Amino acid sequence: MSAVFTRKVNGAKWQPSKSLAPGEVSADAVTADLRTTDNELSFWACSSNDEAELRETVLALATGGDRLDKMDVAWIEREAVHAAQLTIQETPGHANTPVESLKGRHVDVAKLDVARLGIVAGLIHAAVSAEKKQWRRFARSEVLAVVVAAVRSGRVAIDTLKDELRKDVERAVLSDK
Amino acid sequence: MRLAKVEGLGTKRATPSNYLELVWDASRPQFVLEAGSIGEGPEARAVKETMLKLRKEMTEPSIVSNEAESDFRSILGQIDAEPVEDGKRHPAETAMASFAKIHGTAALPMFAASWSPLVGDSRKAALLRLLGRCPLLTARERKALLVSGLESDDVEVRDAAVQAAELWEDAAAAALLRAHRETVPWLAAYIEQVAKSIAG
Repeated sequence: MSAVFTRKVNGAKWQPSKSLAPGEVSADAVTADLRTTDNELSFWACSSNDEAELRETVLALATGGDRLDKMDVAWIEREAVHAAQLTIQETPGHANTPVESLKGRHVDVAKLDVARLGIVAGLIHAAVSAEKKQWRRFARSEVLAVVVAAVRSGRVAIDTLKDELRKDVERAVLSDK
Repeated sequence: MRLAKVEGLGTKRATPSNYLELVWDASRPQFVLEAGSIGEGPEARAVKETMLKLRKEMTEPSIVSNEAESDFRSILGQIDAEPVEDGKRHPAETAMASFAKIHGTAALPMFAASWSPLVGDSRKAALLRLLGRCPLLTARERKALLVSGLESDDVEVRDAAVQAAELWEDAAAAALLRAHRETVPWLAAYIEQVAKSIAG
């Protein structure tokens, strides 16, 4: 399996739209899921797209969040990103997660102008398509299980989680004891 | 009985409470579609016309207070300004809670389910996802929203309805989810997962 870059998306937004021709990329999906900061877009590097690696992305993203929801993770091959001549920067300092061991996985696709953002959108769109199926939905219960396992193993200190999320995780940790 | 109730409302003029009673007593918020399914004869056409007239009245701003409509528009504005993101709080959550306190919990689902011209599919989906985060809704209101969402021909709206059901953790919704025939494979798998999870 090849190395990939993963990113949280809203899978439903990337589905074929009634108002667009087949293959066209929904602007709603782009403006909702690919919002840049400083012309950069956040991704997480994974050695492959296997389940364990995708769960690492879920852990990084979920623990950096405010609350517990389902999560859709899409992945694009590193080779495709390099072939598109997109600029990748390793940016552990931009990682919004309390999980120290995962910060080193954070990368930004940088120097994005509209054309290059369009290329990223095309890659994500292809990834979420029915043909490629390069995305995986984690139900809320699965996201919770990932975080709870990390708390139990000591990878995440529960007091580093934001209030609403922490309460849900605490309840789950206690109820399973 | 249901039709008599509709005709009664038609002659009285719909109010938010009558509207909700009309929609939710039948446990299907889209009466227009319901009427269309009873046949194609003259009686069915007459009923359908009444439904369409009522629907038009119900989605007109006059059936709710100007203040409620204005507050609802404000929520939509917040949704437009910032997409609803998994794992992140959204500014409209606070506005929704405030709206529910001022105008009653019934008002929010009414707006969301009335298929008002204000609300396109993308906004409907965002509203449903946010309503999933709203702890104030009654079981009846949640059920109506779920049924309404699942009936949509838009996959994002159906998905949002299932996400809301997952957040409500309402065991009663499991049967509704299992009864739904989903054509999109990934959503069908998610529905099964959620049904299993909330059934306990």
